[in-house]
Amino acid sequence: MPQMAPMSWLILFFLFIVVFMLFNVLTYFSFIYPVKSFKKKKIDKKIYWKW
Amino acid sequence: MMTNLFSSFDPTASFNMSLNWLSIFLGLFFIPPAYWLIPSRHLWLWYKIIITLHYEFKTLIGNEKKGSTLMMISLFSMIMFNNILGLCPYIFTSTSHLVMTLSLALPMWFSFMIYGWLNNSTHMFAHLVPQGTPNILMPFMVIIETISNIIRPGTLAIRLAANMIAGHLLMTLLGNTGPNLTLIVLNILLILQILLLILESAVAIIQSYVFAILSTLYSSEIH
Repeated sequence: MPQMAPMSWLILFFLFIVVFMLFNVLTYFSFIYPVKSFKKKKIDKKIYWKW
Repeated sequence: MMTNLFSSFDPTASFNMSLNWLSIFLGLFFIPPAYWLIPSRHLWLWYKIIITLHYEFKTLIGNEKKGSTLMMISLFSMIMFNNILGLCPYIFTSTSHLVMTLSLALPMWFSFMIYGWLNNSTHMFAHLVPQGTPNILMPFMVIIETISNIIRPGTLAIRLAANMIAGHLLMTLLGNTGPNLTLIVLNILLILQILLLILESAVAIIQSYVFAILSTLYSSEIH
């Protein structure tokens, strides 16, 4: 079992940069389209429930 | 088996490559996909977090620079997922290693420095003396500010790595006393471990936030 296992810093550096870019891409595309709010037109009659 | 205090941070090697560095990809699966027009609740929650962070960073950066919070938000999410997932058993915490934190902090600081000194060198010189410094102290302030500017990536990286290591180490050490304890003390230990775990999950979020907001702060000082 390796104690203080050797780490290839340069390769890991590039790995982290690539993963960071992936996170950037995911964050860039995670947005929500703005929803236009609209109100239903109320039928404004003074008589509501009269036959 | 724990042969060394720090062996829980050792990346085990196979095929001449440390496969547990792949745990940094895990966070990618937790960010909800935005394939659909109607957002899921997961995406909505994530979006709310992102927007809150965006406003938080925007106040530091200023309104004239567009889109600069994207990098900081993704930096935050990457570190946060690494920290939090690292608390789960058998998941490797890559943010406890200086390789990870330095390779995030150093290029960012370096590019900020290059940008600042090439484009706004007057401003950069002006930052070396804070406002309201007495005349006698000015040379010393320049030295102090220069030193603090140079060690910034180091402090940023070490702060994160040391926090992660400290939390994991505390929990590992406490947990390893478990087999030798009596039942009552063991129960106390369990409660303590749960409390520690809650604290550590808070620290995981806080430290990633600190990393991101300090990077934002350093980026706002160069223009």
